[in-house]
Amino acid sequence: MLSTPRQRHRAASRSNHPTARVKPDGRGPQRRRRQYSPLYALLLLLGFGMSLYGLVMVLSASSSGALGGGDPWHWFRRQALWLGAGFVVAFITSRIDYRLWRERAVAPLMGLSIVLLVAVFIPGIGINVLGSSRWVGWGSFTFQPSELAKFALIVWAADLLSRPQRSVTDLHQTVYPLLGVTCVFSALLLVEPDLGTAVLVVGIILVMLYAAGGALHHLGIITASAGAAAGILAYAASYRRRRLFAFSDPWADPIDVGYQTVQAGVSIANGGITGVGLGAARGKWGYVPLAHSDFIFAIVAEEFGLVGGIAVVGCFLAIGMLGYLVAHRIRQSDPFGAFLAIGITSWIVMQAFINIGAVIGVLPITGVTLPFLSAGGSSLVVTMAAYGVLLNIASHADG
Amino acid sequence: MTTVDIPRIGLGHASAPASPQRRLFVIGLVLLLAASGLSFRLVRIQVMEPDRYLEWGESQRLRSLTLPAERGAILDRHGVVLATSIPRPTIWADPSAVVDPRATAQALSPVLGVEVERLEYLLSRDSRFSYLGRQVDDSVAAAVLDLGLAGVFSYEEPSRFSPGGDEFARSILGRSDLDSLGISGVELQYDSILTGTPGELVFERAHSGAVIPTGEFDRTEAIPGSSIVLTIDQNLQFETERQLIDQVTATGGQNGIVLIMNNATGEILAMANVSRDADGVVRPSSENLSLTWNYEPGSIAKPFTFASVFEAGAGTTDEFINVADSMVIWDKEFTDDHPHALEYWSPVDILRESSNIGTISWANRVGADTLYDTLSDFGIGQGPILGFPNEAGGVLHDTDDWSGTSLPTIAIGQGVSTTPLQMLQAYATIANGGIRVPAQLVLGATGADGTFNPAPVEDPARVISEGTAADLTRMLTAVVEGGTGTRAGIPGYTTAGKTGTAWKPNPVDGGYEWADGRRYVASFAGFLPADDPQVTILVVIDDPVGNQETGGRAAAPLFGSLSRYALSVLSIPPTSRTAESEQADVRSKSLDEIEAERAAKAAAEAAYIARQEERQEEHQDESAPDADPAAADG
Repeated sequence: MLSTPRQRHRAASRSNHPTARVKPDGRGPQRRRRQYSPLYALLLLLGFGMSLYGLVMVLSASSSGALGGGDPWHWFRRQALWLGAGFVVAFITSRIDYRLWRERAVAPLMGLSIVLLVAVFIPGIGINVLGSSRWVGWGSFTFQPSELAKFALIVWAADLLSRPQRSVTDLHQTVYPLLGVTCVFSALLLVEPDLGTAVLVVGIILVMLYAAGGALHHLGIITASAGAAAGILAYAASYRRRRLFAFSDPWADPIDVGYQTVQAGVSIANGGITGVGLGAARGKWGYVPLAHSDFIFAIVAEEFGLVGGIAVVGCFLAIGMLGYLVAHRIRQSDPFGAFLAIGITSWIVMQAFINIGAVIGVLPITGVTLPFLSAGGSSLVVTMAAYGVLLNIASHADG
Repeated sequence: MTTVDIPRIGLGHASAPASPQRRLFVIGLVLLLAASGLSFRLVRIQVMEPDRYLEWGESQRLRSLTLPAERGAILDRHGVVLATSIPRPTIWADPSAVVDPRATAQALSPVLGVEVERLEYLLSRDSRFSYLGRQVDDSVAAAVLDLGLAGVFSYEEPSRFSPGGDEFARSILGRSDLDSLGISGVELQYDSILTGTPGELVFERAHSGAVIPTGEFDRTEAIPGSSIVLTIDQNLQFETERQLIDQVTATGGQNGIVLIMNNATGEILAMANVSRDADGVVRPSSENLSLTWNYEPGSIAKPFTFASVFEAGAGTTDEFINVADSMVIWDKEFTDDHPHALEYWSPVDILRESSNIGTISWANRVGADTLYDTLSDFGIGQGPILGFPNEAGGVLHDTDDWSGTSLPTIAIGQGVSTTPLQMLQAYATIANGGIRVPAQLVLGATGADGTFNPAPVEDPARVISEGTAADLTRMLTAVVEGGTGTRAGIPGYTTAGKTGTAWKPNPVDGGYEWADGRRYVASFAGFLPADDPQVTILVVIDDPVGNQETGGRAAAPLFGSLSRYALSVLSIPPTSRTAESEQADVRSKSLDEIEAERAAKAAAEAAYIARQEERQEEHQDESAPDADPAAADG
């Protein structure tokens, strides 16, 4: 009978994962003999493909000079630098045994996240852009703590849900702690305000709890409460409500609150079935707001049409399916790995669908970026780091 | 404390063992549904219902610019440019970009020659565009741009330019405004042909207003306007205007008109209109009096009275009658120009002496209806000929409206009004052996591609018999050989013509009496060479003074001078015997003499041009012509 998670993991590694990299005594097979499953290869390919495609699209969307102060290469250079950093980080995280996050990093990650989420409000460290305090930074280096917080929360939740001594359905053992910590994170995000990320965080935790076998009535109550809270927040201020729900009828006010949705729609409609061709989007000429970041999907759909748009949706769906397949495969041997995979996968795919849904006018616009494709700095690096962790889990899953 | 075996994955109180696997399946299914929903939404926007978005996008992106068509030129019969369009700088301002309207206005005022207050208003009004100076000289534009004022710019726009100066042939050419729209003369009459078809530039604009380089770009080139080719001979026109100005100046007249026509074709070779301006200087008129002026022709209409006599068979050229120097009809006494004893005159004698009494006697024989018909057939008082802007048509009342004195009055060219061109065309009809060839001012239009489209012309029509025309020509020849028109004759050619010294009606008091006595319209109309007429000319001097008031003195000499010039321009050889000796004289002229003549002529032209330019500077704004079109109804 194994009594500690760590010992159990070691045993699992040895018994069920002969190809796994084993540290530190090197008794296991060497790295060079490691074989990657098709699952791993597909995930790797999707990650590479999406991030490189994102680089191309950032160049296309920003090259009109309408953004970046007239320098057509500004955003490309920036994205290329961050992407380079992202590849390095992803390579490293894909080589670190994912179990080390649980063993060494849960507390530091959570601590750092809380500190940074609070730091955004501290003048001199936090950076306020257009009324939102979402960044910390010094000089030209900026960092969005919510990205790190998502990852930290997922690792922490995966750890909590996979502790054998705790019952997932037990309110005191699992549900309350999970709910409490999530509420703290969400509250800090809501104050920034970053409603989109707050909703995303709650969503990720709910999916993880559901996958872990959480009681349906618990899930129902949490979902209803979160929905009610979001509703109250949205309706509390009429200007926020108008902006949030402008997507449902953008034509009611196409030049003010409906502007972004209408312009994105114009750009997407212009793409037709096969698109206007790479580089030829009209929307990026100052019409679609944030064409290189939040609304880059509109440019994708305009330049590559329905085919390109569905391809991108399909790629995220594939990441989701493959990620859950990884969770399914590793669940028997390591629930922590399964929940971590579910968390990371849900994060990427839910964020992608929330973003795309907003761009195509079926969800409110909340400022959530499209993973891999949107121009971004620290968020891209953190997303890729998380994806590296997912890859590492995949390398441990049965081929 | 629940301990769970590793294979069971420690998921605690799941309701069924298969639940975790099923839940992952459910999550995957939800994901698939979400992806399907998003895809369906894309299908709707991009394939099923894109129209509203596409229309919105096009309305905000597509812009079109009108590409103005180059305005056609106006050319003389040999292709010499009389009016054309050249690019000239226009100064404009974007008031929103002007930093200090007052200071900017003060800096610009001396350069543009516009008041500071006016400029300040233009520079500070709520607009993005103000004209400050349109089509200014290059030097002015350069001076403005040198000031380096914020918000003040220039661009080039087509501006009308006449190589011959602003006054040369202005009554024919007319003017076009700053936007290249014809407002008078040929510029107005043929505006649609000259204007061409504007092109269009359609492009997609970025939100900032810049052109999207990858966007749609559709350029429909403008089709330049056609050039109008006039029947005018620039050389002859120039000389005609020059001599007419001199003659009107010399005779103290108010207006002067000369029309020179190739009678065989109806083409008007020269059409000069000059007027005395407010300062007493005679200059080319902006109004085309030869077309817009209804005037009483007087004695030059007498040949048409005889035409009606001969055509009606009421008399012949060698039928003599008694002619007194006065007669009373109803309440009115008619007299000849000067007293004479009772004469026994043929129509030839009557016309040579321009006897009113003799003409009236013959008119009485044919009666009102015949006279009316003949004058109408000649086109007198029968409406505009060319369709020129503001062209008048003369007035010849129906015989129903004639009074007892109408017949004798009209028979001698009073009580009827005509435009100078109508009179010219009537004489050309005699010159053509009785066939009216419609007058023509425009040969046709030359398209931008070089193709020439001739102007439509009316078919010639016979007005009087060849015999009557020959009789009239013989009578008119006698006028120049030994009658009132001797000053119109030139050596080497036989000229047929008639003087006219019409009484000028007083529009204020009615009748023909003016405060200072009578006023006259002196004219001479004729053609040459008489045996084979080539050129028909009409000279009209309005209101000459002193002893220059008769057609024989005011108009005939200019007729002679211009007919000589016209014949040389047209290279028409002399035909009569005296002509041969004259020609021999010309041949025997030494080279030096010819050179001297040419030099004198060149000097005269240079002096004329200099004077023109001087006047242009002095009189930037043309004054209205002094002609009084109301003089028509006498």
